[in-house]
Amino acid sequence: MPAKTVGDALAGLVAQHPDLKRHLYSDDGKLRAFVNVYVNDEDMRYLQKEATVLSDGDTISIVPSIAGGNCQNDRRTCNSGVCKS
Amino acid sequence: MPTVSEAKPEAVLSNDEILRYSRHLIMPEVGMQGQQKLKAAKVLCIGAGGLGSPLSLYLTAAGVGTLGIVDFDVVDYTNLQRQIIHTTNDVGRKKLDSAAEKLKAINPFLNLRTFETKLTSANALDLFREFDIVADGTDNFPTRYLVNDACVLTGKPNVYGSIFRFEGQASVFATEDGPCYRCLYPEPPPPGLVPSCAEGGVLGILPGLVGVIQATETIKLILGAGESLAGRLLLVDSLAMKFRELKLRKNPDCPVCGKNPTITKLIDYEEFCGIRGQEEPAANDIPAISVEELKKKMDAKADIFILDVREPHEYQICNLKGYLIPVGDLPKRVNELDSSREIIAHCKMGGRSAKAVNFLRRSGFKKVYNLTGGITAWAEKVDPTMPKY
Repeated sequence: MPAKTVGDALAGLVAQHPDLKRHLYSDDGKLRAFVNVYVNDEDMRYLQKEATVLSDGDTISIVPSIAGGNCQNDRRTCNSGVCKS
Repeated sequence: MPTVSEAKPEAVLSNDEILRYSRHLIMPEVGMQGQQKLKAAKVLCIGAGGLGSPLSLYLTAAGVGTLGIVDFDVVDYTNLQRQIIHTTNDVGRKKLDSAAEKLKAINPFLNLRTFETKLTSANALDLFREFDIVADGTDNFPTRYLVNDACVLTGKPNVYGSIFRFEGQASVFATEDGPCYRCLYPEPPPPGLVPSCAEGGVLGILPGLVGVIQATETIKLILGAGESLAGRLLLVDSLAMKFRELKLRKNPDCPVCGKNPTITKLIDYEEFCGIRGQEEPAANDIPAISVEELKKKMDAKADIFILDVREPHEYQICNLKGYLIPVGDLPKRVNELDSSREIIAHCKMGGRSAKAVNFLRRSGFKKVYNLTGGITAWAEKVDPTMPKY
């Protein structure tokens, strides 16, 4: 997916898959606190968050919390390695 | 962690133990010193289920001296696909009794301490203080946060593992300098967004993979060997068979392990996870019908429309010959439904269909009801020949 920043990539992802929106964003448009976004192996909270600039070949991972020792989460929130810039 | 110079007399190995642990003892990274550390170690395992099975089996076999297990559940048939410490003959038994039998059979030198209780804010701190390391094999968010906070407050490392469908996560939290679970996930997902346990499924081997990683990390912490997963989140994808790792940082603003913690004692974790007070009343407000009432209507050939909001692969397991629209597709397929007819929506247990009824009522449907307990209640109370899953 072509994108300049993490924010662009996430917006593009949600545009392609509208069902993901409520899983990733709260009603006020903020990324949900239980969804962590990584650029390669680095947490974007410790980069420039959604403004983090991407380079060719960077991998963005969306890593939601899962609770299961059995299972207790929604598979739709549970994909890692979702898109590549 | 006790070093060998402090090794207590009871950690000295007998000849039988030396023979048993021979393959450890001949490796210099473990050796006699390491095996004595294992014997002196006290590990508390939370849960005797999917993750708890391989964890407790391998820690016991490896020679961990004292193993505590907290669980209050009973073995059922749906556990056997992945909870390998329990057997078909154990169905109906307490998991603790079943596990204790297997663990003592593997290693009679084990000092096993079982705690038949739910882990709560009232008992967690006292319990954790009696152990060196806590291994978290729980299956719900309130207990995850409880275990994490209690580990931080008592200074015990939290060997973490979690699984869902084909994927798992593992790390070591709450070491002296490392991040804790709240550094990674400050807040749990709201309960409305997460369907219940039975709906997602899990590949049977996955707790084996992740639980053995937890056992490995526990043993490394005891030995003081190798590189711990502290500060790293290991992601396991069993379908791609890929192991990736992400960097974890200690969050200086973390409410429990940060510089100015706001959580200095255990809280109400069900409230924190939004489970209390939010979901229940909403469910009660939804117009519902019991399976017995539905049976009467069907026998009387009443004009009712049964809407099945499960997934197609669940429909294949068993069904009430309902019209299938998975709950996620309902908004775009709502035009397939006739609002003048009485609609009874069901899923497996009643959770997803409650959401469907809620949605349809808001969309103007007036005669739509939720089947309480779902097709599982039907199988239990109306048609015992129907399979449960």
